[in-house]
Amino acid sequence: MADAAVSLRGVRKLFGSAAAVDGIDLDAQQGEFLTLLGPSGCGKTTTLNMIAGFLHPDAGSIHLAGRKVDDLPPFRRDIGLVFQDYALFPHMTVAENVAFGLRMRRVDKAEIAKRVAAALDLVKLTGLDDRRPLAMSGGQRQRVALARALVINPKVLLLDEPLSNLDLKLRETMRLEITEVQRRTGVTTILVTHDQGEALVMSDRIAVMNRGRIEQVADARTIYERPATRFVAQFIGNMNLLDVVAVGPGGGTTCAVRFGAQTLTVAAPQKLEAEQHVLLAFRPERSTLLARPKDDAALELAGTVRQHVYLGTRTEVHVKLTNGASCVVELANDRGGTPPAIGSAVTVRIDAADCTAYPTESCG
Amino acid sequence: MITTSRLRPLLLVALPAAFLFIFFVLPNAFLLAASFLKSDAQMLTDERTLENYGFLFGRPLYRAALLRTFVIGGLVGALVVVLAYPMAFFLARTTSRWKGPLIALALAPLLASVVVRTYGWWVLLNREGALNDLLRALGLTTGPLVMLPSVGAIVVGLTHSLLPFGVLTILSALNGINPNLERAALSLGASRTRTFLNVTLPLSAGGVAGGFLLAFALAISAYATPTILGGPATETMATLIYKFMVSLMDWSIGSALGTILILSSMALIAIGTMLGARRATV
Amino acid sequence: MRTRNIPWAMLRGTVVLLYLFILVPIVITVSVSFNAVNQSKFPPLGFSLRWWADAMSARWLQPLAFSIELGLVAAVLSMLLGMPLAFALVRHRFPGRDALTTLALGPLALPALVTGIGLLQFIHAAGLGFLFGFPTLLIGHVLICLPFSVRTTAISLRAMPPNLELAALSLGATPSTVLREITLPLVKSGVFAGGVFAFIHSFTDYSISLFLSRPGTQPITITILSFLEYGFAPTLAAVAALTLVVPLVLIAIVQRVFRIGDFLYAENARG
Ligand SMILES: Nc1ncnc2c1ncn2[C@@H]1O[C@H](COP(=O)(O)OP(=O)(O)OP(=O)(O)O)[C@@H](O)[C@H]1O
Ligand SMILES: [Mg+2]
Repeated sequence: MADAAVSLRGVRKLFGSAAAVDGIDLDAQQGEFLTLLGPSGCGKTTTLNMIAGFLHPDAGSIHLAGRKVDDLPPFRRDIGLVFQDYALFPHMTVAENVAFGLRMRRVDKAEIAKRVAAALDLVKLTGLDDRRPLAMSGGQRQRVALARALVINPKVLLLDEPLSNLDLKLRETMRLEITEVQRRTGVTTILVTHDQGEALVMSDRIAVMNRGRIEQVADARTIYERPATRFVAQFIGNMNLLDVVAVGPGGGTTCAVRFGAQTLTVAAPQKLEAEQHVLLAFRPERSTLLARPKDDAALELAGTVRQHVYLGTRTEVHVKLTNGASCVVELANDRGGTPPAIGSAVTVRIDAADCTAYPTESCG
Repeated sequence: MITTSRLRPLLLVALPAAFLFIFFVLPNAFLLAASFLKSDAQMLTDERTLENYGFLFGRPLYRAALLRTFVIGGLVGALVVVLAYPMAFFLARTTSRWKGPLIALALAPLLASVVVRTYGWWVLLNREGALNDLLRALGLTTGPLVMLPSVGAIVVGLTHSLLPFGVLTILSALNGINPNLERAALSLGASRTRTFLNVTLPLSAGGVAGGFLLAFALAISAYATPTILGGPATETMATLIYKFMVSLMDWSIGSALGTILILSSMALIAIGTMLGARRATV
Repeated sequence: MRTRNIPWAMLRGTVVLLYLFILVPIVITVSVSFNAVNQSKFPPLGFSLRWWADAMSARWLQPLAFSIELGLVAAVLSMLLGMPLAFALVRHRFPGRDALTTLALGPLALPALVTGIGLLQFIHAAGLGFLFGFPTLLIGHVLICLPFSVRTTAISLRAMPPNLELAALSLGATPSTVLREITLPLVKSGVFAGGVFAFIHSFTDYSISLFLSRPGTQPITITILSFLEYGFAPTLAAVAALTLVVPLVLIAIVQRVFRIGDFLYAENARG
């Protein structure tokens, strides 16, 4: 098997006594689009800075295309970086910005001109060579930064929240454009973001980070449908959490849980102790509302409708359960039907196959 | 931010730090030491003594000069702040397109040497000066008013030279206030005056204290203005230092006076820090 | 915007008076130099340029030229010392950093007059008497300029978007190339402004020179001060006005390169 384009083994970084990155193992395959997703302060930028060589790991090692780079300074790592604030050199024109990396590599003039033109063409900025970055819009700056990072044919392209300074519409356009450019160039890419929408749309695989650790690495569908930990389950999309009791010890694959008088077998990726309180998670859009219980293998929760939230394509129905907990059911608006009236008694129904149980403590 | 060797900062600071140490720290330390040495036949001896300070604090003439210096410092500090505040407030709040040039104009006197700035006051205030001419022409006085030399003239001259420092300090404090705080107060029903008194003024108090202390410190060590606008009866510490160092060649008394000035400046800085004036930083 | 009311009008009136207070003595000094009589009269009695002609004699031009020379050398030297210092203070964390920050601003915080006596006595006591004259004066002026150069360099370093240098590194520039191609071009105007401030500070100073200058190495301010003892002749007013010209011309030149008002303002806004 070929070496991974980027490979992190046991990487740790301390600031003072606090670990910003707390032992990370991560591989990005050749040509892959990998996203580091996590809340603010979880150590994404720190991880990126270690790959780029701006920070030195306190433990562990980093390989780029099979080569150990721990002692390589940033300017010898062949990395393309796009910063959140773009970091375009204000005293250089667009063309000079893009040419900078090639100039540092002592590429000859004619070749530079050719490659700069090609890079600007790639990001649809043909003809803006002589502009100054300060005279450009956010989206244009973003493209210049991308062209500047790509023109050097980097081993890996690192993007640190590249879209967070753009407005919503532009952000959606740029998402697709960056993905498109990445497909065409085939460059291994690591994107850092706290925007799950971005991660789901753009990535081949997503690594979800929390407090300096990686909770799960998987493709978007798996992350959304089979979150490995309670943190992932809660961080991505909306999730209902219900306090239930594990019947027997289990975990790793499945576990039986009890809610009131009902018992059912659900997925349980982590270890669970017998007769302990655990959390049962299910997505609002995977649950339905019934007028009365059906008594089959599914989980059924009695409650009262409290509130409707109209969201265009869907409506969220907030239900107060009889045991005092509450949960949200999401109904598609396509059938023309109206959700049950506020105050009416309903039964929330979820298939056992759509439930996952997690330990109450998110990090065990 | 970038991990570098520990050697790099050392290399960068070695020369400037050595320069500052040799030509700033050592001389000031030497001055402090010299103020405790006996001076004999215009030469410093090795004999330690408190006589220099005893001399300065013992004689009514010099005690009065010390006191006068601090009175001048306090008056100048207060006047500078009182005059600089409206100016800074106007400059911070005006929406005029001349704002930039107006700020520059307020600070422009800094381009002129204190000598230039004080000369005009002498022309205005002396016995045959413009003010006396004017008063006589208006028939308000018969004989000339003696306005020079006087402590009042020194205070006016120093206030004038130090005003730009007050404007700078207070302007920076005013610019640091989040404009939404004033809008919030107005929206809550406070009048403009109340808003000013209850929000703006307290929030700029640090700048006011800073401006006062800066003007105070600069005023007590000023030499040119008390020389030009004062006389033998209005000696201040700086003019005394000159007298002892140059005319009387008594370096130990000069050093004692210098030490008092240094300690006063340090005390003023310390008070400023305590009062929450912005700490000086590079 | 907001409606301006009566207090605002009163404030404007006050500010006009304050501008008069600031500018009148300077205007008076300049106009006195045009007196036709040998008296410092305001308004001037008659008009003549003879005091200006006097001011243009070697006796005054020599110290004026000396002041310019001293200011230039002091500004350049203080920049050479201050830039690396500012660099270290802004970009590195090292033991003693806070103490060094205080020390770098020290010559501005403590009275220059006293620093002058300290330096005089120290050089005397250290047996460095051969330094008296220009070298000592220069040392003093570099000292009082240093806070300006350190501060302006530090401000422009801080004003630089932090990722630019990292971006250049990631594109393959070595640290020395980053310094040459990114950092220096971007702090250039700030450093230049620092130099200008340093020069003006040195040029208008009298405190540090009071005890350090010797006959032959006398800055113009000290020359004027010593002549004031003999009275306030209109020649002195002309000379004083002449010293105003130097910083004004300098500022006018600098304005073409960048707006110094912006720079002062940026320093304020830093809060
Ligand atoms: N230079 C530093 N010194 C001290 N602590 C730091 C430093 N850089 C980062 N940290 C801390 O390390 C942790 C991780 O920071 P990091 O910048 O990697 O987070 P992030 O995931 O990129 O967050 P964000 O989404 O806000 O950019 C944070 O708690 C931060 O406060
Ligand atoms: Mg970050």
